[in-house]
Formats: sequence, C-alpha cells, structure tokens
Amino acid sequence: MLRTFVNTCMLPSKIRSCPIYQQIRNTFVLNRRYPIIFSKKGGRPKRFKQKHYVYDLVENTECRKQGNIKLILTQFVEGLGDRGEVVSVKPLYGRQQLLLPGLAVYASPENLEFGGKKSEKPTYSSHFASKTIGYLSTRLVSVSMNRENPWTLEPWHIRVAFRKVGIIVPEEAIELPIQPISGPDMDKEDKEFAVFITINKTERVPVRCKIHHWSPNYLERNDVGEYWKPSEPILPEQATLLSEMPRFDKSKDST
Amino acid sequence: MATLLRISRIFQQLQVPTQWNILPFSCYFHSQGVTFSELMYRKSMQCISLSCIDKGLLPGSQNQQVRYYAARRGKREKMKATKKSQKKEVVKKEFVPYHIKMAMKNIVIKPRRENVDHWLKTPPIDDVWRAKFYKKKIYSVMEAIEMHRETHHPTILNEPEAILSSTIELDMRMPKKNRYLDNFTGTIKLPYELKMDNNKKKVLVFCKDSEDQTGALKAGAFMAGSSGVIKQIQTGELTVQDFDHVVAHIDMLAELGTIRGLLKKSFPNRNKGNLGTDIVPLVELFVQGVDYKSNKDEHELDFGWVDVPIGRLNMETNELQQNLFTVLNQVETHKPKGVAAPFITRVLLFSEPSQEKFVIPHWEYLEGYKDPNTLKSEEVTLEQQTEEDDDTDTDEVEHTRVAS
Repeated sequence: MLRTFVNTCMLPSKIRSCPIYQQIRNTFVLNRRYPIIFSKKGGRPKRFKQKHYVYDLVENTECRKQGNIKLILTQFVEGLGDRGEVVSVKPLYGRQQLLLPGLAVYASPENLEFGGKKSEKPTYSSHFASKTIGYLSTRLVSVSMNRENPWTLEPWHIRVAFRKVGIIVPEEAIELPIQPISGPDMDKEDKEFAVFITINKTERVPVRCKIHHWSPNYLERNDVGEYWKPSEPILPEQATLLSEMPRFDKSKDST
Repeated sequence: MATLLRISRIFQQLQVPTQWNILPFSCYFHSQGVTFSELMYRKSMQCISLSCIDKGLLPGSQNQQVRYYAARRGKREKMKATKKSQKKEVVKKEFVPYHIKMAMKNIVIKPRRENVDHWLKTPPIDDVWRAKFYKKKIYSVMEAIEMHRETHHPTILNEPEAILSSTIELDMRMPKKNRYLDNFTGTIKLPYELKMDNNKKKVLVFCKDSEDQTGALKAGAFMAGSSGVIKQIQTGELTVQDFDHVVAHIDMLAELGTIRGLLKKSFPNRNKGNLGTDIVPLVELFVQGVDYKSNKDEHELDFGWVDVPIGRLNMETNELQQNLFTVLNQVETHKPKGVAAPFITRVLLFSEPSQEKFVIPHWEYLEGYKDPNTLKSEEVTLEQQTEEDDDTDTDEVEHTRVAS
C-alpha cells in the first residue's frame, strides 16, 4: 500500500490520475497437507475437496540468505584491497559502504573487461599496511630495561618491548638510531627516542619509544606517572623528527 | 362464585398466605368430585405441615438452620477477623532485570571466555601485525621458552632462574548433564627435580619398621614413628594441620583407625597414593614432588584450570619438555570416565614477573589428542558437504512435488 502510494506521489500529475501498482515478485513454496487423488486416464477430472486447499509453508524465498556479491574496487580500500581488485563482500556492506560512495562497481563482464586488472603500482604493500602505519605512528612503546646491569639497546630489546604491547615485529624490520643508547642511566628515564619499522620491506614508519628502568626490588622501582605526556628526546638529532610525529588522540582513535 | 368466596374466607381464618392462588385448587377439586369438607381438611393439614417445616420440627428440615434468638455478641466480627487473617495477601511481583538481580546477589556477570578464537579466521598476511586482530599464534615449546628467556635476560628483568609454569585449562563436564567435576589435588615427581625457594615440605610418616623410619628421615621426612606419634596426636602435642602430607605403611592402618577423626582428610588412602609398602620412594615423592590443585570458575562451571610449575628457565629445554610431558599426562589421569570430549583444552606457558602467556601445542605431548584447529577445518568441510547433500535432497523433494 505504502509503496503504491509513494509511487503515485512521485509521478508527474498527468500519470498520477491512473493507478500504478508495482509488482512484488516473491514465491512461497507450499506443500499440500492432504494429497489429492488422481483422476483416471481419459476420465472425468475429480473435484477438489475443501481439505485439498490446506497447505503447509515450506519456504519463503524472500527470507533466503543471500550470498556474497562480487565487486571491483575503483580505489584503495583499507583492510579490503587495492584498485582494480575483485573482492567478494556481504551484500549490505557492499551496497552501502562501497557502491554508494563509488568505491566499487559491480563485477559485470563489461566492467571486468574495462577495469578488472590490478594496478601496476600498488598504493600499499598490503591492504592492512595503511592501518598498521596509522596505528604505529601514533603509539608510544615503553622499553623497560634493567636498572642495575649495564646494557646497550639492540633490535631484539625493541622486538620484546613491542611483543609485550601486542605488536609482532621481526628483528629485520627494526632500525635503531645510529648513535647507540646505553644504560643504566637515570638521566634517560622517561625520555623519548624514535625507532624505524619497515612493514613488508616497503613502508618505513617512525615509532615513538620511551626508556623505563625496571628493578626486581619493589622499593627501587620508579613511579611511571603520566607517561603519555611529551618529554625531552634522548638524542638531540631526533628532536625535529619527534616533534613532527603525530601523537595519540583518543577522540580520533578508531582501533 | 359463592363457593369461591367462602373458600377464601375460610383461608383467611386459617391464616393462609395470600400468595396462594385459590382458584385453580378449588376448580381442580370440584372437577375431581371432592367434597368441600375434605378439601378443607387437606388444606388445613397442608398449612400445619408447612408451619411445622418452618419451625424445624420435622425430620426433613435438618439442613435448614433457623434461629429465633440473636447471635452471640461479637461472634460475627470475630469470624470476619479470622477470615481476614486467613486470607493471603497477594504481593505484586515487580519485574527486575537480570543484571540488576545478579548485582543484588553480588554475582558478577562475565562474558563466557573463549578458549578458541575461531571468530578470527584470517591468519596474518604482513610481517608486522597486531596480535589483537588475528588468530592467536601457537608457538612451539622451544620458541615459548626462548621468548621467556628473552624477557628474563639480565639486561631486562634479570631473573634467569625464574620458575616456568604451565596453565592447563580443563573441560570439567561429566557424562551426566549439568554435573561437573569437583576440584582435585595431587603431587607429581618431575623427572628433573625443581628446587623451590620456600621451605621444605613437612611430611609425617607412620611405619613400624625401624629401617623404614631411618630411611624416611634420610629421604627428608620431618617425623617418622608408630604408636608413640599416634599417642602424641591423641594428647594434642602434635596437630596434623602443621604437616603438608601424611604417609603411612599398610601395617599401621588398624592403629591409625583410632585417630581417623583427628586426621580427617589427610587420612592415608591408596587412591591418593600416600599409603603403601615401600616407604622411602613414597616419602621422596611427597618431599620432592610438586603439588597442584585445580581451580574452578564460580559461574562458568564447566571451566577449570591447574597451574603447575615445570622447571626453571636456566634448565635445558629438553629437560623442561620432559617435565611438561609428565605433568600433562598426570593431569590427564583426572579425566572422568565416559567422557568423549578432550579433557585438556588449552595449555599456556608463563613465567612471573612477566605477564606474557604463550599457547603451546599440547596435543603433541598427549595420546589421543588432535590439533583442534585442523579439527575445526575438517568439521567445516564436513558441514559444507552435508549442506550440499541437503540441497540435493531438497531438490529431489521439489521434483517429486512437481510430479505429484
């Protein structure tokens, strides 16, 4: 009813006078509860009784679960794929999030012929890379080192520190500053330095780190305090780099 | 008419109620040829009988209670009061939401913990990735131990001799529905001994033979004796609660029966393993062995876990692996009979003060266990197959329907 009403309202005034009924195409699969008796060959057809019009609903085809739809991406989509990639997604997500804003087109044979090839120069090494770049660039990782034993920072120290936070990084991907950082040195406590991490050997991201001195003796441990606040750099070369790097903003955080 | 009038007068004299319709009576009697005198007699008798019934004199009137005196004072009010008191007051039940009801009972509602992160289907693609977004990685025991050694390195935590322990997660379901396994305890003697920092465990030994007594004391028992120790316990000089374990020889069982009430749960039992003929190995087990105790979730009754130390990080990985093997197989013995599902669901390795816990493949150390992840994938394929089969079935049904 509502559909027909809307249709009539939307139409121009000349056509509005005549009623237009939009056809709804749906099928209900039914099963006869009482089977009918066949009439004899060449004989008179038998009449149906009242009970022969009793049906059981087997399926409403409108309620059938729809499968994924195939789309071609027109540009890079975070967490999904690059330009020209054919992806199969859930229909509602595909229509609302990809087709409507024009991020994708239907994977029809014509479209596949026209733009179904992958772009030669990919924007990122993988479709999760941009997400990890955004995450790493705003994060602050605490590198806790011993307070008593002497140490100089090595890549595996950074790897362990990242693993504690929940970021898995191979040792080859870590790039320490050229000037070595050694300790224990309480002047370096709660001070920043930057480490470069390369994702898939392509994207190089600087990550903010802080030195924290840890002691097995409970009384000797430092109070962490407001660790998220900006502090001085350990190395003066990195001062400009650290000042330019973005900081974690909770209001903008989506992860 | 004259006769009718006469009848009515007579009736008035007899004080007959006025509702009586006289006319049909009289006509009836006249038609039957009854004399008037007879009729009068009958009517009078009727009147008398009616009045008698009213007064409750006749036997037919026993059910009707008629009183010509006033009820006792306050009787009715009393009756009303008793009726009121007997009446149950219907209290309206107000709807209380589930979470508020639980909060009133001081029960914390938690989401059910998921041991298998099957909802995260994709394995990581990149070489740098966040653990939160992917399936939890299963490390081999070698890798897990190596990673713990990294965190406990002298340059970081500086605790290379830290204890490495395992969290063994259990499925506490019994074959009967809504029945769950009770908490259990036990001791294991690890193939490679783990020396704890805290004091030695106190073991009390009951045995008659003097050789056994000396052997037990050599093995590390705190006290060994027979009837003398029993007397001490009876008098109250010793209390069993001071000891961690009680071990006994079978010969002492009859005498121990006298202090059964005092020993309570620590009374030696063959099933517990603290009753036997060879005393020295028994004592060694309880002195050197590792105690474990299962824990159970308050609300999630089918979930239980045991924390068992395996060794120290400075031990060799081969030794630690063998210890882990014995621990897992020991815990497996507590599995209830008649349960088909695997008892051990997940095993994690941890080492304090580091908070990291690594999942390890426990199925490599246990008989009859399979990798649950591969099982999952097999199930999925099976489901798909069945779905396809169903589809074909439905198609056939439809065909037949068309034919009919």
